[in-house]
Amino acid sequence: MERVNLTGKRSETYRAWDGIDAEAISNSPSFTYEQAASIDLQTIEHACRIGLDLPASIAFEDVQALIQRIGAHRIGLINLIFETFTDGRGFTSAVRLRRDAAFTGELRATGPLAPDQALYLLRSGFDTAMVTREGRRQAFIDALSRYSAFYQTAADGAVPVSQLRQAGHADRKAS
Amino acid sequence: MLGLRFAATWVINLKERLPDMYAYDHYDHAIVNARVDEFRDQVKRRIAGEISEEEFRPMRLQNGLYLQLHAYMLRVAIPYGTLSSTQMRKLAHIARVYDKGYGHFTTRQNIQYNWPKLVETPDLLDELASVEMHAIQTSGNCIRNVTTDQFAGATPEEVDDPRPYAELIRQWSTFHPEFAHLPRKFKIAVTGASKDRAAIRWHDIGLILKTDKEGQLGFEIVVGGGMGRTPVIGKTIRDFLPKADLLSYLESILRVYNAWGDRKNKYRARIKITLDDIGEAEFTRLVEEEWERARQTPLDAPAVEEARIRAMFTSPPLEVLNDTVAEDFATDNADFKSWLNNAVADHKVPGHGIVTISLKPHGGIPGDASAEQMEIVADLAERYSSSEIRVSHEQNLILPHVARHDLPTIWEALKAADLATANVGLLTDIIACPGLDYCALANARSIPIAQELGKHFDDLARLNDIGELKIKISGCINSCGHHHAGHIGILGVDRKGEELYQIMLGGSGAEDASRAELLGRGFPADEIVGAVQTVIDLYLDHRADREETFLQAVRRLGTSPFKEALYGTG
Repeated sequence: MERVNLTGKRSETYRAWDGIDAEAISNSPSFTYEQAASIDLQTIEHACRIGLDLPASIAFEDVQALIQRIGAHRIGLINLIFETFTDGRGFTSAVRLRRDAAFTGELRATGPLAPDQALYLLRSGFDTAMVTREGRRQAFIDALSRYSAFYQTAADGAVPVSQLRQAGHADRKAS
Repeated sequence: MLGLRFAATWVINLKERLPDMYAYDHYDHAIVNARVDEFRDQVKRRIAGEISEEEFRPMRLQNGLYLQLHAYMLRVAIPYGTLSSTQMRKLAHIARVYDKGYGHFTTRQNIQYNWPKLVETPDLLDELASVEMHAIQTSGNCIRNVTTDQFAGATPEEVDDPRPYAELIRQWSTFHPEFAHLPRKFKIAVTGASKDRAAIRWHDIGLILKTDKEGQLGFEIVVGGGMGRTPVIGKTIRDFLPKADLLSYLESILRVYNAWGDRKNKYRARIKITLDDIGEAEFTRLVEEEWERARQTPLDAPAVEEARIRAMFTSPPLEVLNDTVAEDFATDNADFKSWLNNAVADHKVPGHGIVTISLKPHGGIPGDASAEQMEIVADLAERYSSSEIRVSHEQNLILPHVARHDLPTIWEALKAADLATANVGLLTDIIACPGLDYCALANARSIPIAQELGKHFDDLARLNDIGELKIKISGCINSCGHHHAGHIGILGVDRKGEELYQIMLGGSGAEDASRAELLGRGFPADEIVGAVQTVIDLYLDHRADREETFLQAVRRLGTSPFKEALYGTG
């Protein structure tokens, strides 16, 4: 596995919780859906930020319920695990996590992802990718600058061409 | 290098900008050119073994490149079926240089080349980009080329020109980050006319322009139509949507589909099944709920952008004419008269017409055009149709803005190029998929059946007597030949190595959309033409009068008499 940072924001490391040490969890654990849905939240140290490892196929409503249970402020990472690189559900979940759940923590995509998907991931709201096949970090980074213009408003904040056109039009009028 | 290429395309653009077409600006050029570079890089990595065929497949498909029976096939988008003469000449050039001298116009306003070499496809795409064309999203599980009425902007019977909306959708859907990996392919069609020439109700989303009681423009939203092995006619989930809300509503439908669509079974992955599984009422509720959120987010294309695009679709300045040149010529020329009555539709400007050029010569391959024919059409369009050409989903070409007094000259030129068969909308104006001659999915050949039917019914007087009749042939249940929507649908199946052809009756792709009903067991290839003849004979014997079309007669009579005639049982 190789981590690719798409946004350049700080990316934390979380460790999969072993399911045993429930006395005092304090070292940035990450939980599966089942663990997160059932763990006694009192056992997690108050200041400790946690991660969630969820299948990319998960229904957004289930993620939302987990966030409400745990508290958005305590979740540092949501890691959506793609079984295949063509499963588009993770992209919609990412968009909805940013828009509907106002999730501002790290959003990660894990799986057999291709560099050619780097912009789709970034623009859907992902910060990082954990890629099955190693040695492709540079290809991912290169792919981010492949396109200089976009038609849609998206999570990366790039100004869509419809607005750039209006700005250009205004500039021409002013000059 | 990139800068030089932009500069070159700008020069062409400014010099040849047409009044009635969308023209790329430097942003559009940048996006399409970047895609060419990206694909060049993907091909290079594939050839070097850096990416597997499994990874490459969805990449090449989303750029229209299929691996077929004998070779690669490239599907090029003709967005909403609109071409300039310059673009048509480029398609002819590509046919000559990268194919075997011809191209195949498809049922979704695309053109396919059947013999490009993988290593040459980036150059081919570069050539397309130089005339503002591409192959982006012509295949794969994404939003495909948006289609529309081939008479858009020229017909007198439309509420509004659908092309500006189609261009808005083209831009919005191009590389949409959230919708590049859908459960299955996704097709959108839009029309502004009362007569449906775009098979609206057979699309994943069909958009029908209309006005509400206050005269406000908007759309009826039809969802969940589709052919394939489970033919479904789309359902109206919203009777009226104000036009300003179009993209946010489309986004909401796609978002619900992306989250809910079946990803385990590809035969259950189209939105028609999702809608059926969830239920129409619940699906609509989910879309409306999502839309309440989506409409609050910044618009991808605000009203000023729509206005910018719309301004490019100003009709060419046509003068109202009042002459009888065409009619006078027709009095002395029966062949021309037949063509005039058959292939020329009314234009919104008096004295002009919309010419449909049949790509269905009897015995020919439906939808095929040679490079020479493409160039002749390009020349005719330049001289007589404001340099504009349209492509129909029925695999014909259209000159949308022709002065009627030029019709005799145009007809002479078309006739010399074997492009004046007066069979538009008649029995031999057949839609056929490529079938087993080319397609890796097919079970049976389609093209030879269309050719045999063309040869058998090679009598225009007889065809005109039979009247309006749409035969649609598919070589497998994927239905690329739209057999479910055929007045007569023919489906090729494989039975223990033998190609058999089933007949179905009563389908329609028009505003009265209906699904054709299967009559019974299939016929071998050498019997199918005779079986169609039997069906036609029964129609001619039983039609109420000469005004009753084949489809009307089937709807009145039901299929039993036809079964009786074919199988001896009702």
